[in-house]
Amino acid sequence: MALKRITKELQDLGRDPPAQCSAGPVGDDLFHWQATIIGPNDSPYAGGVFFLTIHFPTDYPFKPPKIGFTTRIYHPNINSNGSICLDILRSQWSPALTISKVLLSICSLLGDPNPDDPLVPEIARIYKTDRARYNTLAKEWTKKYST
Amino acid sequence: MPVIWLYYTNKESGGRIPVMVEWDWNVFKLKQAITSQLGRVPNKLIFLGKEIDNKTKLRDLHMIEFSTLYCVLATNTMPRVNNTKLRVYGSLSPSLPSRGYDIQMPMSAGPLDPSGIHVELEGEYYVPMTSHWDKGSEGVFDFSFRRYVADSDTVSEVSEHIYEHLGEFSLHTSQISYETMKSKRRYFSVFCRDVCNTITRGKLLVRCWNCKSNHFTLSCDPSCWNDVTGDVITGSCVSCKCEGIRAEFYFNCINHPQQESIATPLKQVKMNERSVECIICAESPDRLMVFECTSLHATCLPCFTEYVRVNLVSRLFRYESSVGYSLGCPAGCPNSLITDAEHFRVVGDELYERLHKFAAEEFVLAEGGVLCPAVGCGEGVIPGTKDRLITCEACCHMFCRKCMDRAHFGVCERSLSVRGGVAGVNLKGSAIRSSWRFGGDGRDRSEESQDWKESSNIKSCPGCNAPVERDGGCSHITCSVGVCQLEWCWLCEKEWNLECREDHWFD
Repeated sequence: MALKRITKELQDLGRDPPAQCSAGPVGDDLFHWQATIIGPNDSPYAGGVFFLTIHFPTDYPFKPPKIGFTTRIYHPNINSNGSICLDILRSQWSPALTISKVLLSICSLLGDPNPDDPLVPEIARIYKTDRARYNTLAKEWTKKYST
Repeated sequence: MPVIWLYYTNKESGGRIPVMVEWDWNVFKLKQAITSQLGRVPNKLIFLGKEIDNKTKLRDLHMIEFSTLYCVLATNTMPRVNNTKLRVYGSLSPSLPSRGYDIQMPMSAGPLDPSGIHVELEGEYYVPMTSHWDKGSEGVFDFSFRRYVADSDTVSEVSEHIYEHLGEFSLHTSQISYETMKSKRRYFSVFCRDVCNTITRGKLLVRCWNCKSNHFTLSCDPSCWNDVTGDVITGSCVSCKCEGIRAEFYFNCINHPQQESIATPLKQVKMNERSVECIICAESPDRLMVFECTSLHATCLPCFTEYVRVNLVSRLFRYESSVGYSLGCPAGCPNSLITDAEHFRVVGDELYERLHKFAAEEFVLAEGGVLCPAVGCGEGVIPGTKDRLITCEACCHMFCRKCMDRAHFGVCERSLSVRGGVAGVNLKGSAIRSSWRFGGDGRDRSEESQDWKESSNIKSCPGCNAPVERDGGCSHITCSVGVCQLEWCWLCEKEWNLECREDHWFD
């Protein structure tokens, strides 16, 4: 089941790739993928290329894939380990979701952080109180780690 | 029932037959009765020199017992359509000659519209493997038939009728399928509990509720599920002694139609006529489980089974007083809970049993009750009083309502803010452990709790004491127990608060 669905998703990604995201298997193991997200233009992450790693559980799509950033990023919902605080990757996962949809959600999370449910409270605080500083720091990190 | 005479005629033959009628019938109904008796569709019905139309009631025609009606049977003037083939797999009864047997296919009244549909078999069938054919052996019968109305519904209708009538011709048909250029055939799906233990094709049958005789005439055709599942439709029992008027609809599994077996209808399992994709695996199967959300999301049956299994084991079903303990659309659509729990039988007896247990527990907890904490018990108790000490009626175990520990005097040693625990708790950071109370391994609770302490990723919910396993994510845990839903902090083991968020949200 899992393998069939993953294969199907891979085909769909090839046929109709989402804007700004691409993903594919790392090696022969179809359960281990890597993905890239290009920073959205209207965000301080513009110009950056962010790498992610995706691990599919054996009972995928009934359980969510494990997705994390491998590129460092200054974002209130993404911590230094690359963990992403996104409801659809945890409690709100649905087997109807696909990697393509998840990557697009992550993409929109970059452009529109959620400071009320942050994984990095410090960044959330700066985001809420001093947006200019947040933008500067995010741009700096983007320049430093992802370009 | 009153009887009237019918003179009938067509190009080849004619005759006179008695027809039993009800004065409440309209002419359409009378035509159906004639169709079933003659096996031919009456084209025109003439009474007192006038053609009578379908909507008129017999009473309004001032018909009396032994009135005479004239009828012209429909003739085969429409072009023949020969692309429809029907294949019946069956065995020939030993009492029949082995080949060249003519079948006069009688038309059934049923839901066929006598004014629109008229189907006949082409006179005789043949046995393809004549040389290997023995009486009583298995074989294939190919039919081609001509029809007047060419649509797929007619084909399914007709094959259904042929199936029934072959039974009358002593052909023990065990399986029926048909080949046609038209779209896929539509049929009811049932869960065959006795024999197949899986979802199969079902046949809708009707009998008298009183005497269980199948000779029952309905006052009107069922047009929706409510007609079939409720006591909406009446009729009359044709069996001589019984005067039952209540109809009883039931389903038979197609794989063993002769056998009395329980086959429960699954109204959300439907034929995939428009090649809809499963929203989980994106395949396009023959049969779909369709959810009742506005988007009508559908899954294939293997995905549905797995979806039910995963959510049941993780105890992620939801209890809603109007529906019960159920599961909604995988896409998370609102108002999509499955209303008929029979659909959950796909997960197998053992898990289905567990579903019932969980449902009962959720009900007890939702009603403000507690579950007996004694090992191997788990009986639901809904105490009438607010007493702290509760005695389980099933095992006589006496326990404290507050801390769920053995009955004691004074202040509770363990603190528990809410009710007694239930199994399976999800946390925001995923991971679940279910059935902790009902594992049946006979270990004492205290022993088990020691095991938990050794494992740093298992803690109990400060709200309901249900064990929680954390395999990732942040410290913000949401209890998945229906009545608890407490948001708590993994590190402080207390209700989630602003300080937890600021001090140690993660790590």
